[in-house]
Order: sequence, then C-alpha cells, then structure tokens
Amino acid sequence: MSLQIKQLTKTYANGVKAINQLDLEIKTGMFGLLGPNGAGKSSLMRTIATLQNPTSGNISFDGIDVLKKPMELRKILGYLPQSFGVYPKVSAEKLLDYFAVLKGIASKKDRTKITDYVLELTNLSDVRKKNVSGYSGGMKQRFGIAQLLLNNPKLIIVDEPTAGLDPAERNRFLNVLREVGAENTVIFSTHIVDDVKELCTDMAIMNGGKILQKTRPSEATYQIKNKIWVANISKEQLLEFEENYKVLSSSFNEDNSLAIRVFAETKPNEQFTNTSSNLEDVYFIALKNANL
Amino acid sequence: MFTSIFKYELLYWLKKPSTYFYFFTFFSISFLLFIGTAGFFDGVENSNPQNIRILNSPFEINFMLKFFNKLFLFLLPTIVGASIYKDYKDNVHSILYSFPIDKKSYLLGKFCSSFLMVSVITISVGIAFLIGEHFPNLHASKIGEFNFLGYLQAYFIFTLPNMFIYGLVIFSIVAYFRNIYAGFVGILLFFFIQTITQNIFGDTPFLIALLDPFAENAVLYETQFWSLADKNSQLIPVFGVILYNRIFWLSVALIVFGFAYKKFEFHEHQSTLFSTHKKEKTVLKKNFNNLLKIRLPKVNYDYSTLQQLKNTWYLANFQLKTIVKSGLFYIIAFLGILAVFFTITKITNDSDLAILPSTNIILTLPAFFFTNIIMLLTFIYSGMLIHKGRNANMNQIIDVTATNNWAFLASKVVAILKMQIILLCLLMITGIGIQLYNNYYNFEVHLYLFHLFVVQFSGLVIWALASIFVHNLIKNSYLGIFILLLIWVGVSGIQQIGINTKLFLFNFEEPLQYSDINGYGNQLYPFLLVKIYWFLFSILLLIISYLLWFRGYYESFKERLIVMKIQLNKTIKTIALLFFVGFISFGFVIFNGEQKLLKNQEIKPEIALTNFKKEFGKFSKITNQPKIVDVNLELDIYPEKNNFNAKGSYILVNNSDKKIDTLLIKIGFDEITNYTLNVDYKLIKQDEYFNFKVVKLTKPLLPKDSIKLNFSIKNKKNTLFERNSNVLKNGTFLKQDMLPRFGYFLNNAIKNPTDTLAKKHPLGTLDADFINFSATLSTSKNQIAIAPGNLIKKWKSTNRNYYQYKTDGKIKFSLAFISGEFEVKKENYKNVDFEIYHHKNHTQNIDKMINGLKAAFDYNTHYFGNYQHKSIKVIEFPISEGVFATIMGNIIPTSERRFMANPISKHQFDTSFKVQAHELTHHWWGNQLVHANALGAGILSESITDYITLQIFKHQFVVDKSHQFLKFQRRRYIRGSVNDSDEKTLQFAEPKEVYLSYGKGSIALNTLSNYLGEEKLNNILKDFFDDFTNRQNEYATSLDLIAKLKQNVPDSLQYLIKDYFENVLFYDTKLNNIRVVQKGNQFKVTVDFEYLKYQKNNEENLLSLNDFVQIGFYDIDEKSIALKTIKVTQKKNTISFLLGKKPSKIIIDPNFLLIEKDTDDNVIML
Repeated sequence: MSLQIKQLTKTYANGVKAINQLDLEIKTGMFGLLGPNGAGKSSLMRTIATLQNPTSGNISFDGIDVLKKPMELRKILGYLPQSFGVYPKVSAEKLLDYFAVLKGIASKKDRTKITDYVLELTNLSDVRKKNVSGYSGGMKQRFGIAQLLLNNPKLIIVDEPTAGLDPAERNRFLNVLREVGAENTVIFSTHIVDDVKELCTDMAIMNGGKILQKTRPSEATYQIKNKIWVANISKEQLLEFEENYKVLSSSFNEDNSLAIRVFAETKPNEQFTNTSSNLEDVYFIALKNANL
Repeated sequence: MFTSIFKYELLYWLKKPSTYFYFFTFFSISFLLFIGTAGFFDGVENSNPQNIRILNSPFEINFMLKFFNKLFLFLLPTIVGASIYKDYKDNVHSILYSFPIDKKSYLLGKFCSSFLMVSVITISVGIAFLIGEHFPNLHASKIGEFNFLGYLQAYFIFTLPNMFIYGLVIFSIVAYFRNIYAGFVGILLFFFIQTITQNIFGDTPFLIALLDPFAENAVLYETQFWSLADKNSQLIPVFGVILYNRIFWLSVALIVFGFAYKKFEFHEHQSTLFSTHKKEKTVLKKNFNNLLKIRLPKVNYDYSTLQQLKNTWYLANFQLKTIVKSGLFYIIAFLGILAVFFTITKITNDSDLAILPSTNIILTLPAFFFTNIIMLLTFIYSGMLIHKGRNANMNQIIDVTATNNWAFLASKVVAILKMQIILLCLLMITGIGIQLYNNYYNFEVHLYLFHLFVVQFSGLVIWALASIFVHNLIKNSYLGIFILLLIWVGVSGIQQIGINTKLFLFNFEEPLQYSDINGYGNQLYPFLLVKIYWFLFSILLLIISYLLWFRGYYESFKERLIVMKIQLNKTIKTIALLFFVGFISFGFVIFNGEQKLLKNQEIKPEIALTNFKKEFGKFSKITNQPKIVDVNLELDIYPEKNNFNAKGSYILVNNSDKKIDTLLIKIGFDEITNYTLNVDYKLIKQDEYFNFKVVKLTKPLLPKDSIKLNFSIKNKKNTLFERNSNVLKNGTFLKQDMLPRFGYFLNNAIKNPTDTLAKKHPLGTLDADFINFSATLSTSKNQIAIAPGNLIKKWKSTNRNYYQYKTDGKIKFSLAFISGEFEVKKENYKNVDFEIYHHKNHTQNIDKMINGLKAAFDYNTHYFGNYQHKSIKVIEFPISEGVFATIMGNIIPTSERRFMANPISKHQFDTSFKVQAHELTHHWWGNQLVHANALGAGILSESITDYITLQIFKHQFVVDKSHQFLKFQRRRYIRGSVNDSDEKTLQFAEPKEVYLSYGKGSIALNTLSNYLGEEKLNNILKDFFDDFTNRQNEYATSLDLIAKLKQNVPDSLQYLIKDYFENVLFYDTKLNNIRVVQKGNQFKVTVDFEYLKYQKNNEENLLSLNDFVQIGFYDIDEKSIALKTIKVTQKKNTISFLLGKKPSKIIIDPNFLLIEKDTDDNVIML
C-alpha cells in the first residue's frame, strides 16, 4: 500500500512551477513533508487529494490511478486542508452526519454509531449540539480530524494542521495522527520541524516544487552526527561567517551575541564546539544545499 | 480614516470588470428600449399619429425609468451589500476588525463609496435616454422638446433617493445578517410592500401614494387627472405626496440603518437579534480523549449509484434547510400570503366589477405575481446553494468525498425545486383559505394542482435548471443573479427589436387564460409544447452543468473545458444527443407552426388594404346593392374537433328604384365558403386577401325583384399557434361574421351624422335592414345549440342534438350561434320565457340577472312598447371570447366573467342586475330603434340604455346604488377624458369611445331627467322612438335626438343640452363656508359656495352662467332634510335657507348631476 508519484509537474498560468517533475514514493506510516512556505507542499497535497489537476505526471495509490479514477481514491481518502470553514449555523453532529452521507455511509444507524465514536475520540461530545462555526481554532481542527476519519481512510493527507494550536492541543492532535498512521499512509505537511521529529517514520524535504531529500528522521540526524558545530559570535561577524561556513541557523543570546550553528565535516575553527545534531539541521542543510 | 476607506473601496469597485459590465448593460438595454419605442426599428411612421405619448417628456422619462428603478434594486446587494459582505466572505473581517478602525468610518466609508458607485451605474440609463432622444431616424411625433429638468427630476427625486433609501436598508440587512443573499431577498420585501399597500388601501389612494416604496403610486396620484398634453409637457409636481413619500421612506431607512449601526460590532461572529444570554459555563480544556487505540466502529460503505441517488435526496433536504430555516424566508412567505390575500380581497371588492374568489381568479393574477417571486427566489437561492461550499470555505472537504458530481448537482436542483413546491403549496393553501374566508366553497383542487404544478411549475423548473447552470458557470454569484435577471427581462427586450419566434424567447409564454367553461382551450397544447422545448434545452444545460461542475481548483475556464472533455464519456454523449434530438424535434414542430402563422401574416394588412383600395376603389361608387331579407341556415357544430359545417341561403331583394347589375360579395376571413346564385352571372374581378369578388349579373335585378344565394361554409383548420375556428370544446360562440356579405365593405366606415348616406344604413351594415331568420343547428349529444328565434323543434339523430329556430318578427342582422353544456334556469314572466343558460357552478348571480331582465322588461314595455319575442335567453360564453354581454335577437350572450360577479360585495353597484337590464333595454334602443351609420350613434344606444338602466336602479334600489352607478360613470368619463387629447363632443362620439357614450351620455340624460322629470323625458324619447322605428331606409342620428330634445325642453334647460351634448366642458363647485343660526323652531343656514364651468383645456376662461345647482342638507343620521335647487349666475354665491331641522352635513350637487373632477370640496360636515 504505497503512494507513488512520478514526474509530477504543476505549472500555473503565471508560469510558476509549483511542482516540478517530482518523484516520490510514500509507504505506510507517518510521512512528514517539510518545507518552507511556498515550497509547493499545498499544491502537491491538493493534487494528491484530487482537488487539482497536474500539468503532467502520474499518481497512484494502492493500485489506483489517482488522476484517472479520482473517485476510487476519494473512497479511502481523508483530507484536512490547511484552512477550512464550515456551513454556518450547523451543529457538529449534523455536519458529521452530512459528511458521513457524502462518504458513503448509507444507514442512519451506522452514521450515528460512527459519528458518536469520532466525536468521543476528538472529545467533542459535549459540544456536539453546538454550531461548528462557533468553535475555537483547536476544536475546529479536531472536528477536521473527526470528519476525516468517517470513511476509515487508508490515505490521509493533513496540510499544516498544527499551525495555531496551543502546545497541549498540538500534542494530542499529533497523538491521534500517530495512532491513525500506524496502519495507514499519512502525509503530513508542515513547516515545523518538531512535528516531524516527534511523529514521522519517513520524511521528505521539499522546496521549489522539488523533493530535496527523502529520508528517515532518525537516520538523517545520525548521518550528520558530530558534524554540527556551534559558536557565539557578535552580530557584525555574521556576514563573514556565512561566507566562510555553512551557517544553518543563528539565534540571539541573552547578551545580544549570536549563537550560530554550522555544518562541517570537521571542526571549522577553535571558536566552535561540537553539538548534537537535530532534525532542524537536516532541514536547513537540505535547503542550503539546494540553493548552492 | 473615512477618506482612506472611501478611496480604497472606490478603487476596489473601479478595478472590477463587473462594474463596467453593469454600466454598459444598463446603457445598452435602455438605449435599445428608447430608440425601439421611438420607432427606430419600425420603419416609416403612421402618417396621422394621434394620442401619442412623447417619449422625452419628464413624465415619460420618469415612466420608463420606473422599470429600471426596479432593476437597479438588484445592484444594491451586488455592490452596496457586497462592499461589506466581501470582508466576511474573504474572512478579512477577523483580521480587519482587530485594527483600530472606528465603526463610523468603516460603515459610512463603505456605504458612501458603494452608493456612489451604484449611482454612477444608474446614470447610464439617463445617458442612454439622452443620447436616444437625439438619435436620428426616430418617429418625429414621439420626440418633443429636450427638457433636461425632466432628467434631473427623475434622478434626484426618484432614482437616486430610491438607491439611497434602499441602499441603506440593504446595507443594514447584509451587515446584520452577514449574508449577501439576505440582501437579495430583502429586495423582494419592497415588491411585496408595494403590492400589499396597493391592495389594502384601495379606498384611500393618498395612503397608497405615501406608502409606495418606489413612489410610483405617488406619481400616479399627483398626475391622475393629467391630460395627455400635460403628460407630454409638464414636470411632475414634487411638493406634495411625492415629497412626503420620500421623507417617509427615508425615515424608515434611517431607522433601519440606525438599528443595524447600533447592533454592528467588530466581532468575528454575528450579533444576534435577541441577545440570548445563555448561562456561561467554564469548560475545562480537554482535547482528545486518551484513547490510544483507534478502533472505528464497523460500518458499511456504499458507493453504488442507487445509494448516491438516495444521498441526493438527503443532501437536497440538507440544502433546503439552509434556505428555509431562515427568518427572512418566513418573512417572504408571510408577506407573499398577505400580498395574495389583499390582491384577492381587492378583486372581490372592486368597485367597478367585484368578482367571486373562484379558483380560476385566484390562479390568474395572484398566482402570476407569486410565481414571479418564486422565480426571483430561484435566481437568488440557486446562487446561494451553488456557492455555499466555497463561501463557507468547506468546499475542499466536501470535494474529496466519494460523492459523484451528479449527486451534488442533482441535490441542489432538487433543493430548489422543493423550495418552489413548498411555496406553490403555500399559495394553494392560501388560495383555499381565502375562498373559505369568503364563504366560497367550490375549491377545484384539481385546477389548483394542474395550474400550479403543471402550468406554473413547468416554467419554474426551467428557471431552476437555468439558474443552476448560470451560477455554476460564473463564480461571482451577484453577476450570476444579474445575468439571470437580464435573460428574464431581455426576452421582452428582444421582442422589442423584432425577434418574436418562440424558438428564441427563453422560457417565455403569455400567461394562459382559463375558462371554467372551456378550460385552457386551444392554448394549452402549444403552451406545453413550448415548455417541453425549453425543458429539453435546460436539460442540456443541466448536462453541461454536470460536465462543468466546479470541484476542487481550476485555474482558468480553459481548464474546466479540458476537464469537461475528459468527463464527456459515451453514456453522457448518448444522453445529451438524445435530449438534443428531442430539443431539435420540438423546435422543428414550433418552427413549422410559426411558419404557418407567418405565411398567413406575410401580407401586412395595411399593404393589402392599400393594394385593395387601388385595385377595387372604383367599385366604392356602387352603393346600390340588394338587401338581405331572408336568412336560412343549417349549421352543424362539432365541438370535439373544433369544426363546423354550414349550408344556407339568402333571399336578396332590390329595395331601390334602380336596377342592379353588379354584386360585390365578401366572404368570411377564417372560413372556406362556396356560393351560387340562382341567376346567371360572371366573375369580373376578385381579391384573394379580403375574399372579395365583383360579379356581373347577366340579367340585371329589377326593383322589387329578388334573387337567391345558396352557400356552404366550413372553417379553416386550427394550426399550432393560430385559432382559425371559433368552435370550442365547450361554449362555442359563432357570430354573423362568418356569413357572406354584400357591398363595398370600406363604405361601411362611420360617417358624419349630416352625411346623407349615413342615414341609409344601420351602423356597420350595408346589405340588410331587418331580416327573417330561420336555422337548424346540430351539435354533439351532450351540448345544447342555440340561435336567435323561437325553438320550433328539437330532436336527436345519429347521436347528435338538433334544434330548429325561427324568428317571429324581423330582427337586425346580428346573429349568434352558441353550443355548450349548460344548465338552464327557466321562468315564465308575463307570457315570456326568461331563460338563463349557464355553467353548472355559476349560479350565484342568476337571480339577480333574472331580476334585471324583469325590471327592464317592465320599464321598457311601460314606456316604449311591446317586447317582440316569446323568450329571452341569457347564455354564458367563455372568457376567452370576451368579457362583454350583448343582445342578438332574443338571446343575450354574456361572458362568464359577468356570471362570476361577487353578489355580496358592498362596494359595487349591482353589476349582474345592471348588465342584464342594460342588454334587454337594447331590445328597444338598438334593436328596434336602430341608429344610423354615423358618429354619435352611441347616444342612441348606449347613452339612452344606460340612462334607462339608471332609472330602473332608482326604482328598484335604495338611492346609494344609483349614486354608485353615477360615480362609476363619472369616473369612467373622467378617466377617458384625461387620456384623450382630442376629445370630441358627445354628439360626434365614435362608437369605440365608450367613456363618452356610456359615461358622459348617461350622466347627461340623467341630469336632464332630473330637472325635466323622468316621465317627461321618457315621453320625449318615446316620441322619438316611434318616429324612427316607423321609417324605412332612414335611420336615426344623434343630431335627430338633440333636435327632438331641444324642441321639447324649456328654455331654462336648453343650456344643459348645449353643455353636455355639444361641448366639452367641466364644472367645479366648492362649499366655502356654512353658518347656522337658530330662529325659534327654525334654522337659518347660510351657504357660501363657488360654482364655475370652463371648456376643457381652457380653465382660465370661465364661462358665463345661468345654471341650476342643487344643495342637499342632511341630519346626523345622513337623512335628507332638504334638497334645494337654485339658479346661479356668478362664481361666488351666498344664499340662505330656512330649515326645520339643524343640518349636520351639507353637500353641493349631492345627486352627481355635474361633471366635476374634484368633488372632495363639495361636502361640509358641521
């Protein structure tokens, strides 16, 4: 049960190539798609989710030619877009029932059964009679998960779901995703590296419509083990360091000096000390490499 | 802050292409309308234009703008409403509202900028008219002097204030509901308010004028007595009810806006109308339950087509709820019911002709109005449903579900259809409710069902499919609604520029007329045919909608087309082809039908007439033709097949003292006629168009000699769109016009009464004076056939009914042949059979009719001589043949409309009684005393007849009824008079000018009789009657009557004859002041009053007086104390009377003797 994307290209009318001859295979489990804003993540996800037609290329999932038979995919697809709204003045219960119908659950009894379950799961049972349009951001996102589960999806696409959630809410949200991802394919796009670190078995880094690196989070961090160096420098020195070294990130210390992280096979100079590598480094290395 | 918002918003609208689209669309439509009305597309104008309204007069500019003012309303939600709605729609509001914007600048900035935008768009129409009136090749008579003030007035008094007032309201509605569709629906409220106020305040036109949201009725109120000349030149008087109207509605709008302003808050969520403070609860934040394993319950998923079909129903109901579960929908439904209720109440209580609330009546006007409202709701709500997902930003989650496009599409169609059905059901329930309320129990549910759910619904289904198509095609739902309106309005527009084929007039059909007797008649079949044609077309639209269904993201329309191509599989192709073939086939049938129609219209009547005059003009000198003295007819009517067959013969006698060698014969227009003479003749010349032949007799017809003409006639067949045969399934009403006639028919033109030829012939007839008539009619076994004369014999043969009729004495050549299923009410009165042949349900007015007949019978036999036949038969005919009643021999064909009068309405005088009394009186005045073929003929028939009817009223009823009668006649006359710029005197009135012959004529004779005495006037009339009924070949004219009156009327009353018959003038009386002083047992009442008269259109020049006027005094119970007749010689008068009782009400001219426009100042209450 894998999702295969071959030579996928989406060129918009203004000439922008949101997806550029992209090849990708995604297996069962949680798959993190990491990339900066505007990398083409949403375009890719929408294309996989049958909402948008690519300019060229192929997508298949579990033997389904997604572009030719979108309806087949939709039967087993769960999709949570980056942002969504709901019909005004409809309660969660009624709206879920509505989605359950759209997702092919014929019997009223079945619909009640499953909506009850997903409401319970997402802890919305108490507010089931309340209008979804009046929900807070976190509640709405949970509702998004609830509707997504209704058709017992095999392929789940969630586009930047944790943006705007408070830390506790985010944790719980990720837990449920992990749970769902155990047996299914979950594609999870984000620009927050920690999300991927905590969750994903596989990942890819995307920018400019291309996959820069496809890897496993643990493996990727392992590969750059002992190659990450930190140093404290003054603000004015940053330019010089950036010219000479692969500076991955910089952050201000309390004394207004800059702490920089640098990727290098060996210790660049005495100023630097070795530090443990993390996924964020992987991400920045990939982006840096792409720019070179 | 205000200026920056204002500027930003203005720029926003200026950047939008749709703004320009609206501007140029309005410009083009109004421009085409203007030059079209001005005759640009009609070619050469009539050489002798009369009573033409000048198009660029202030009145007319305003009149034409009226229509646009209503269309402009739809710009309000589109621009004014959208200016605030777009912030909600794009979710900008959640960010925007956190900025430090003050409410005042925000709301006013948005309103002012969008109001300015709308105003600019509305001005496109003014510019179009302005250019239009200076456009070349218009009919010169329709364009007057350029008057810019007219434009300013139309805009600054009506259009722009309308936009401002209703802009405020719509802005408030949208800001409040945060829903643009609420704005659109809000517009309909104004339409309802207009309809309701029009019908509810029927008796107080001032209130109608004041409360009309569009001030249209205010204009009508101010200009009600305007003559055509006024309309063509005057500016509309603004300072009066129009101003009050504007102020009233402005206040309403400001209050609504104030409310919305107060309620408006920069909150993410809508504020509620009734703030329901629910108990606040602190919810402990718990997110997901700590379920670590997700075990979704096992459920069945079903993606089969059948299940999707079932889902469609579910989804449709879900969609429907979003329409129906809104306060606005309830308000619309409620106002809809009120509008229907008040419209019906008006119809059933109308002072001129109150009608019973029969199902047929409820389904005519109110249902038409209501259906249009449903249509507008369809435009609006289908937009709402189509864009619902996207507007809520829920489309992505919906679009990834495994539900087919067709299920989505069908669910929206079904939801709209259900909405329509709900409202139609509501109309039906309302209709039945109104009938119950009026104690009318003949509900005819089948008719409701058929008319609402077949006739009306068929059109609504087509609109539903078209709306879905347009809204799915166009992302901008305001533009979609606007385009749908354009299609609706445009259909009449393209007729304006000469496209009349039903093949292009989308979903357009003239409303069907229903008759209780004959149903929809022949109209129904073509109606349904055209509906099916458009239905098939809209199914094709539906298929395209399916293929172009908006799902997911499309970058361009091109991309949608590519997707469409992919979607277009074999099955769909086959289905589409099938419907396309159906569409084309029906189109072909319609095309064929229209071709037949066109073929018959190929030759324009005017051209045919010109050609005819050129070719046959020389025969106009042949005025000596034999007269028909004897008519014998065998007429077989076949109602089921709409056919008839006739055979018959005429005996023609040369009544002149010269021999006749040439016969001019004209046969029926819609019939196929063969004829032979019993003498030798040869054809000289013939005209195919008019079916006119000139034949030469081999042996001339000598004076007193006679010949016989045998003829056979059958009808031409009906075609799809053309009714050639007047035979109906039920209620056939054939007239003498199908029979061959003699003479150069154009000589029939009406002449001046002084013309010597005029007196030779009765009105409209060249070839007969009085005839002997006999006929045998046959019809189907369930119908009765009737012709003038006495029934000699009736029998059944080969499953058909036969009737033989023969007249006792001679009758006018005015014949009717009727066949239908009737119930008959018979009564023998003074040895004459009074019979009413009527539809089985139309029994409410029969007694009144019989009473009318009896009263007229008694009155006329008393004064003017015997009734000549053994029976009088009133026979009902379907409304499709007219709404009139007439007398032909001893039968009085009467329209079913007259049978449907509301017998219990208090507001009207007794119409059923009146019509029959009037018609029977024509037996003397019209059928025995026959007027000449001359102007003013109406005095001898209609004026005298209505005068006699009024006298009968006076004897039969309380005085109120005759006053209602006179008020009705006065209203009728003044309405006609103001619209006739070239009003003739009564003595020269044309037959068609009924406002003169009925209205003014009956008032004139009544006034004369009032001063002269009824008996005396009737004796003069009797003298006149005897004079002329005894003469041969010399018919009476209006001048004969006037001469007779002048001979017999005392000098003091001669002025009345001059004033009423020989002049066009108006009186004006006014009570200024009343003083009452008690003198012992008596009261001295001093009355100050004015009395004047003037020629029409010359109000400044008062005429000299030596007139009578009456003043009536009434006590507190409205009982008459005294009626004083006084002579006036000057305008201002003061006169005292001694009365035995203290008056509390004084009326000048209480008996409606004068012709006066404004009678409000004729009464003083003490």
